[in-house]
Amino acid sequence: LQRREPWAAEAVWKRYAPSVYGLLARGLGRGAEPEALTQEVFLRSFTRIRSLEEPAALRSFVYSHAATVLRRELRRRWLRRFLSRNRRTVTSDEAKWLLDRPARLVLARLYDVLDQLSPSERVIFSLRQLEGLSYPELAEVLGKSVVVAKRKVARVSGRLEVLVRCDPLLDHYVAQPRLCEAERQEGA
Amino acid sequence: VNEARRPRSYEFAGLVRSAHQEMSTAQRLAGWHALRRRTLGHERRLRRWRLAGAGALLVALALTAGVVIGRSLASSPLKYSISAGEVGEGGQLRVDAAGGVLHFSDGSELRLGAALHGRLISVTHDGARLRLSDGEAEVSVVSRPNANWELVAGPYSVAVRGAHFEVAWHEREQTLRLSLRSGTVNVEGPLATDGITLYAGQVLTIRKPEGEIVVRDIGAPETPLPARAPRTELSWSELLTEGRFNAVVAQAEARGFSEVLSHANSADLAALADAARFSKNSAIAERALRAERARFPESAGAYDAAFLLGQLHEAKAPSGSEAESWYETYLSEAPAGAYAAEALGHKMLVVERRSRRAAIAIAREYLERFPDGAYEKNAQAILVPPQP
Repeated sequence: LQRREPWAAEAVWKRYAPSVYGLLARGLGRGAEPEALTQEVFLRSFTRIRSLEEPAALRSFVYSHAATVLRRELRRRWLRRFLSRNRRTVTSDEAKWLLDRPARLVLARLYDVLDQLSPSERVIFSLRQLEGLSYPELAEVLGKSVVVAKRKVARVSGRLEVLVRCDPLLDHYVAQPRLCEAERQEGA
Repeated sequence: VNEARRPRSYEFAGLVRSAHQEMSTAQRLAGWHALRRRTLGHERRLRRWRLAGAGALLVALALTAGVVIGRSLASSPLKYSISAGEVGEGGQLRVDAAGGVLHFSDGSELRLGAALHGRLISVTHDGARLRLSDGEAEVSVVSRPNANWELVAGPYSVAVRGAHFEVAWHEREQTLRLSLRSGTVNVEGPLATDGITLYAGQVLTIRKPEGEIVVRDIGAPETPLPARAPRTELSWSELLTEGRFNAVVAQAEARGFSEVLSHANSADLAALADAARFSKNSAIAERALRAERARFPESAGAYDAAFLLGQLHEAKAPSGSEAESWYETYLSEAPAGAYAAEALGHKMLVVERRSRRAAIAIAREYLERFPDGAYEKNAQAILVPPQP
């Protein structure tokens, strides 16, 4: 990419686009448009590729831009919710999606709870708990030390723990996750 | 992650993953084409911005170059030429029998009298310095921002920004005469150490040996000076010229103020009044001026004393009726006198300090009599006060 080889951009896209897409789709949840945002992540990565000092860190480099785009999108949503004073907007597609599977009611509640986190906290939750990044990877993506990354993850987890405990449906799901196992498998 | 210590929120990860489908091959292919299009568009925009930036840089460079060239042109000295004469070595002016004309590139010109002795000292981008050692000249300086001209006539310096006037310096008689047709000039030198500002329509005559300064309107009669006997010691007027104000007051005190006020001539009384005013001794100044008015009524000195008494009282009480009364006295005694414009202007200001409404009539009269006077703006402001 740095040498502007014609095949490089396509190769990087093919390699990382699915995981970036997944990160954005899962991180944003309902109403997400991950296709356009995924393209934006790569556009940013390609135009700033000269700032990548260590070619081996390409994955973290792309993920750091994905985290930036995800954070910005979450902030935009938060602002929209704040301005409309409506914390929860259910579209007709979403309503259908909710009604399709009872287990997805839990998922909808989870995203409601996630909406209460700050965009930065939610990005950390997505990268660590949904995407399963290791602490060194997370530290690299966030541009922090491993110790700081661990401290941030602990803080977000603690906060989410309290929020989940305060939500009867989520609290019940976490206490007895196997009750919904069949539903989850069906959904998968 | 250790299962036992794992936060309960990890339980949701599987649920979330199961709810979202992965990116399909079709999505990946379509996404790649869309990304190509966006990348190309981005590169095109980038090129356009770079071109625009380069263009803006070129324009900025051209403007800077223009400003630099303009400034260097503006800072180059005025060009000059002389007709019917020549500018010799050291700027010495030599004029033909019928007189010559010195032209400057900004349109200013000096008509030099036939018997003139003078020198062009220096020429800059905003004016020139000339010395008039003896003779007459008609000066016409074009008014420009930052115009800076100086005419040195004998020991006097005439600062000009834009004006048309005739000036004469007679070395033998040590007399300066300046008749101002338009604009303003400032004259500094012996007897006028603080500078005298002349306005259009005024004539300044300074007779250095007599220690006399007269400012009058153009066309007003000039009072001839009485012949003076030769003296061995310096007169009070001469002491005044040399700035020895305290010496004048001290000599008057030594002779006894009552004696001086009763027997001194008009010139000495005027010199004493001036010396006392300049040394901030307003009580003695007032006594001298009142004595001059009492002993030499109907004289120009007595009229001028009324104006100066107005000045003294205005300094003590800026809105006082006594100052106003003295200005009125002067205006009634010398309606076309040298200080007429000043007296009416000061009267207007004194009254305005008490009541703007009361000053309106005086402002109208001032504008009618002296439309280009020094207090024209004050008068306009009284008639039409500035909006807050």
